[in-house]
Amino acid sequence: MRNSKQISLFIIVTALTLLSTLGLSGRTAFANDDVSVSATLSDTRLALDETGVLTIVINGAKSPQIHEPEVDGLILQQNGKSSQFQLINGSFSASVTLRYAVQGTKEGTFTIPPFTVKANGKTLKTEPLKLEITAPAQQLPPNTGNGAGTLPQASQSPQSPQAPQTSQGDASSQSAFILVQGVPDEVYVGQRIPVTIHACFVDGLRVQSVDRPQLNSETFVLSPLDDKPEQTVQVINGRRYTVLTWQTTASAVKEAAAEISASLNATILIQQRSSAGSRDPFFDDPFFNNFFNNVQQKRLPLTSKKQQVSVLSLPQQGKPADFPGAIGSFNFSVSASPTTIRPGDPITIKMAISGTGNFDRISAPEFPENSGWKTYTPSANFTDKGGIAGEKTFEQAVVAERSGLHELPPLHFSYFDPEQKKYVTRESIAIPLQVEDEARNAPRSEQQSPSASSGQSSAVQPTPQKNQTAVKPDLQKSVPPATIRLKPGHFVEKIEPIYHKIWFLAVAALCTLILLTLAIRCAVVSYRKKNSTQRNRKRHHRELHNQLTELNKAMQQNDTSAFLQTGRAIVQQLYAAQLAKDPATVTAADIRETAAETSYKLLQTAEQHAYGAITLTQKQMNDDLTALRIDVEERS
Amino acid sequence: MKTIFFNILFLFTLPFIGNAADTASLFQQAGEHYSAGDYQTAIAEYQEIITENGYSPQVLHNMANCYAAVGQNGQAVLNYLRALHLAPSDADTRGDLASLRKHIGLYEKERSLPMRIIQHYDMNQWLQLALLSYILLTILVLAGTFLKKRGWKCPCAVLAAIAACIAILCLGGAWEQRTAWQSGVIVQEGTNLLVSPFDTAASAGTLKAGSIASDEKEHNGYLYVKDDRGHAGWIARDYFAKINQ
Repeated sequence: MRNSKQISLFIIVTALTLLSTLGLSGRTAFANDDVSVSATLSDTRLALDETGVLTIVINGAKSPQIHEPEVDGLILQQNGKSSQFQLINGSFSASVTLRYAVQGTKEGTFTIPPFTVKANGKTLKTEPLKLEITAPAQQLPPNTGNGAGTLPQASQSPQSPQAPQTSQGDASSQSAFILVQGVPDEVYVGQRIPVTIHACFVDGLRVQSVDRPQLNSETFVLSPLDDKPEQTVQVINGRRYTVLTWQTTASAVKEAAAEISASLNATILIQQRSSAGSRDPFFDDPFFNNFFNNVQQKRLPLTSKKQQVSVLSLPQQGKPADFPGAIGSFNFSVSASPTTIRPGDPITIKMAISGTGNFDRISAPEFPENSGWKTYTPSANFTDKGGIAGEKTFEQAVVAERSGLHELPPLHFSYFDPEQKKYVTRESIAIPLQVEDEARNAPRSEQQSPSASSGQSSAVQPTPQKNQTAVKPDLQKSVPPATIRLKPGHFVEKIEPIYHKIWFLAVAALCTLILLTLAIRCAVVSYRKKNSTQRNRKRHHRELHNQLTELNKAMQQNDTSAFLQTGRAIVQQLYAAQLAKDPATVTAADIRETAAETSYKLLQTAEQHAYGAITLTQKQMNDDLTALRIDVEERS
Repeated sequence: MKTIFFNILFLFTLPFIGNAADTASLFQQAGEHYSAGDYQTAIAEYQEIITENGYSPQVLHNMANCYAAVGQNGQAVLNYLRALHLAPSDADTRGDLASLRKHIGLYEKERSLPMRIIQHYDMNQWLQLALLSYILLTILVLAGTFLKKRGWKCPCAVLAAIAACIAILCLGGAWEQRTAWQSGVIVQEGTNLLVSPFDTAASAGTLKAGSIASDEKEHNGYLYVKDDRGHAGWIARDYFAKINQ
């Protein structure tokens, strides 16, 4: 007992001493630790689609402040932080470890600048680190090229984009780029040009979304782009690219020496790969590597190379008076129908302008003034044929204001041809008309007039049309005279079709109901007729059966008279249908050849009984009854 | 007792009589303004009559005259067509409409003989004819079913078959004319047809006010319309008014 008390006391004192020593040591250790920082990379060489780990270790500080640098071409994303406390030889130390995911957005050799760390009142910096970003692992072998400074040829169709040259002269170093094609060196104000924009993304780059490209130019206006561009896969300079292509048009709006380029924003996904120095070899397996990796979104802006374009004003020299502003290359044709008319009849003129250019500036060619024709506002219709090609047609009605007009005057259409750099005027030929007297009723014809300078030829045969009553137009007043009502009439709540009205629906429903009822009735009657034969037969059989029962009763009562009377009725009924006679008129002579012998004899006996009483014995009646039953069964 | 009954009846009908008198006087007033050349006032008065009482072919006709006089050809054509829907046989309205369309340069296309026959009647008229034929068919079938005399059944069957054929033909004519009830009128002068339903879209042509078109779809406050000559495109919703309401 005494020994145990002593042992306990010893243990308590030792523990207290130990704890106080540790506490003092810790305070001393924390108070006296120096702060140090270090930075290490898991890999000094990474592919474009790989992610490395940058580890920053800060020793001797519990809550350091870290300032991360930015590197063009690299993405640094913090994805882990841990703190550690150690007791070594009685002294405590603390360290903080920060982990960053590192991924390259383009190939090259990069230097990660020092990280600035502030801890315990001191400012420290890590050493700079070098990192090389190489091409993705699954790329095709690069083209050997033609030497520095030259563009390798694209390996697809002539319209496929070519990779731009970088400042290093290596065309295969871009993982994503944007190109603008189709912009000439010179355009005119108002001219519409076809433009193709390609956005190319190297195979392996995970693109989540791509915004619509925009034109970086104050001089050009881009037509609205499709939400869904054409998507192809092409090999450019030996590398596979996913190419998004927008076909559109652009218009120059002012005179200037302009620069034109396109830009867009893409969102890519960055996948983290675990470092080669992972502690646990189990989680170093690629399966777990992909499963547990984080995927980060990153914005990727692309801008194409600037192209120089001169936007020129249209020359004033040689500009026709009726020039509408059309720039391009056009054909012009005019037709009219009918060409055989009576005074006052309207003629429809169809003008077709087809080709390539800015159709929105094209208006209907004007009819010559004071030509004796009253014209009406033309209607227009445009057919888009892709790009800047199309056809615009105008229909205009004209009416002769005076007699003596025998042809439609020629019409003019002027435009500026940027290829020839001059104004071109197309003119149609005058269309001859045949004006008839009002008294005649001659058939009319339709004629198409070929354009003089368009190079088109038409060979339309005249088509005879039906006679129409001549109408004298009221050309004196601006508004035709109209009748006026003097009473308000009957009002309705809505202007609606008659089948919305209840009475209409009710009458139609009633008629339908009646017809349906009649149809059902007819069907039932027909069905019953079909089954009446069967029912008659059953009724006949039932009657015979009842009569046989009576016959049996008569036999049991030994009533010869009743027996013979009933037996006669049964036989007559049995053979009446066969003979097609009324049962009451069937005699023994009728059934002599066809009936069973017993039935014939019974009928004969019954006929004889009518003239002289005949008595039958019980046995005879029984035999007759049995035979008659058999006969009835056989014939039913 | 009788006196009290008739007095009560008179009291019930008094508001209607009073209302009819107001409408008649307003109508007459509008007619006077029309004759005096004050078309806008006349239009406003006719609109008031329509708001209070509903539609009548006479009011619509006169209002269309006023619109035509002030140059609002789209509204004029619209109201003429509405009047014709209510009174298809009105030759004056038909003539005034044809005259106006000719004046503004909207000419009818050449029509074949069957189409001229079909378009001679309105859809409602074809349906009324079909209903009459249907009623006749029902009566003939009833007669054929219940008449006991032998000599009547065959003629009844033949006449019923003819009535059925007429009903089917009239339904075909009504079907062909149904588009007229689904169409509308361009009411804005110089309406631009756009290739896409937004303000900055390129123009695909123009439609004159008074053109008859059918709307096929709607998007973003724009309607896709197509006229009988095949001109199609998007126009602002406000520029198009349906004939049938």
